[in-house]
Amino acid sequence: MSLAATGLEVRYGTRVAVRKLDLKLEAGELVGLIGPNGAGKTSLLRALAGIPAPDARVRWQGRPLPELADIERARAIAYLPQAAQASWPLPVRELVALGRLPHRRFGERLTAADEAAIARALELAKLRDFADRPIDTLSGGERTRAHLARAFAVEAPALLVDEPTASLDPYHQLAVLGLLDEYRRQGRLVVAVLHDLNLALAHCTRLLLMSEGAIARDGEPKAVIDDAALAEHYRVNAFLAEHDGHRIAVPSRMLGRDD
Amino acid sequence: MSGGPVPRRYGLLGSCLALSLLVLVPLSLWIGRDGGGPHFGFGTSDILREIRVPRTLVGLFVGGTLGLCGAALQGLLRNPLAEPGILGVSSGAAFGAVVVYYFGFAASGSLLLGTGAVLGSLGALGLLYALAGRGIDLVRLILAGVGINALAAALTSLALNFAPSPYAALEILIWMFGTLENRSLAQLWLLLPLAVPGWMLVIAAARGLDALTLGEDVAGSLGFRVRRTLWLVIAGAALAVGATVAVCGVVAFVGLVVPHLLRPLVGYRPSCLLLPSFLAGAALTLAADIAIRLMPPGPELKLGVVTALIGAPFFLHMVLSSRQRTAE
Repeated sequence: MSLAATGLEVRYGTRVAVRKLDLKLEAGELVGLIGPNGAGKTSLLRALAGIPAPDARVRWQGRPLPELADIERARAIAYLPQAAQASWPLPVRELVALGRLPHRRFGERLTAADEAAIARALELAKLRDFADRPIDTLSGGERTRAHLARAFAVEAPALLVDEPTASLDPYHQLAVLGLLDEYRRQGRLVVAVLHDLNLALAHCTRLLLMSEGAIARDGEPKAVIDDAALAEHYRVNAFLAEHDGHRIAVPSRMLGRDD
Repeated sequence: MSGGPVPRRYGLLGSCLALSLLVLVPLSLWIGRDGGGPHFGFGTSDILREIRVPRTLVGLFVGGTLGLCGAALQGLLRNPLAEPGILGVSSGAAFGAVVVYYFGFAASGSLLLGTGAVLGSLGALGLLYALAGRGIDLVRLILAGVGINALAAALTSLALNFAPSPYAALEILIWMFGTLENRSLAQLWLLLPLAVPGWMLVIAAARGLDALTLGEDVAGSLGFRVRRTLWLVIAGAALAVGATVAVCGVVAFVGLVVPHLLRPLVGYRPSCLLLPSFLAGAALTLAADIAIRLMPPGPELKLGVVTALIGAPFFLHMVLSSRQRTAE
């Protein structure tokens, strides 16, 4: 199982968001995609998911994305955007069931396999007691978990999520990272865009630090986040310490002018 | 556990709606009206065949089309206020029909008239999409609908102004009001060849509408091409709504009220809303038409007037409550 990119570029008009990027991601990794605002993290994640259109420079199991049928791609790579929303106040179970769409044909009802996948996703996201609640009656943390469960229900070998911890309190941030880690432990690839460096340091097996559309550093969390990286790419000085075997980074001072 | 409470309710809802039609259809065949007000009984076989049966069938299919297309457009635009009448699709179709009629290309009931109406509704939907764009926000959508309605009304009034005879002017007015009066089998044969393909296109988009609930990006990641869903609904709604307008004029608000009332009963799934909306739209339209025939002696009320009288306050209520929600 591998998701790879060679010479990947993403442009919006004349602006280049991702430039000539090579990348290989493997099953069993929880990859944290980090970097300052505007570094191209979301653009890269979307391109890897085949959004807005499948790009031939991204390959799944060695095959360029456009060669995969839509449904094949949908079953292989699940995607959850930042601040995911539902247009209608669906009950949680119905929302999660939408993740099974790539597994059903027109007019087919949910099969026993679909039901089992939905139950597993609800279980994994610890939402069993919320299954019949309309999504708009949930708190922010519960809602994030419901959308994650929707993505889990695809049961794709690769899951790409954009800032799943944004606007969550510390408890729910830890909970979400815990869920992603459990999904990874089932032998799958998880890629998450993260802004919280300490969450990334504590939970990811690998970090990709993006800066100006390129991957500046790639490797074990401790090897990626150090004084030099924070100064050069985040333009901050930070207090670094070790706790419980994990590195902790607390930004303390801006470097240079704020432009 | 096979699917929780929603599918059970779905079956129950379908049975209730089918049952209501089983009551309404014989009633519609049984209740007649002439200058002296309502009268009861099935009448002669000629009356039944030439008047009551066409009126009932046209009412069923027109109401069903409006319910179905309202539900589909709401799913596509992810907005409960979308409706063929409000979005200007119906008035675009009326204008298209009037142009064909006015320039003398067609007598009422001919297929060319339907083509004109379909082109009119297609034009209105295309304009709507160009004006409101994607990532559809409520205000832009409603304003675009207001603009298209105003434009179509102005152009239709222009045709009315220059109408060659008072008789032609009256015929044009009837399209703007919407009525099932004096419909014959000819109108049914105009309606079905356009409406049935329209229904099929809309229903083919059902799963895409479900996926769109989560936004265009997620729909794409679930293997759906958003453009395909978009064109299925737009082409289907234009065909079906255009055909209904060609045979009985603008009947507004059925497509708004019906899906809105049914949505909580089907677990808010856009795909599960389509068929119940068809059945309930048919039932509502038929019930309104029966009520019209039961009115005391005097000129017959127009169906479009009745649905607008019921639907417009409903629409205002929805606008007000959606404003409150966003203010919270």
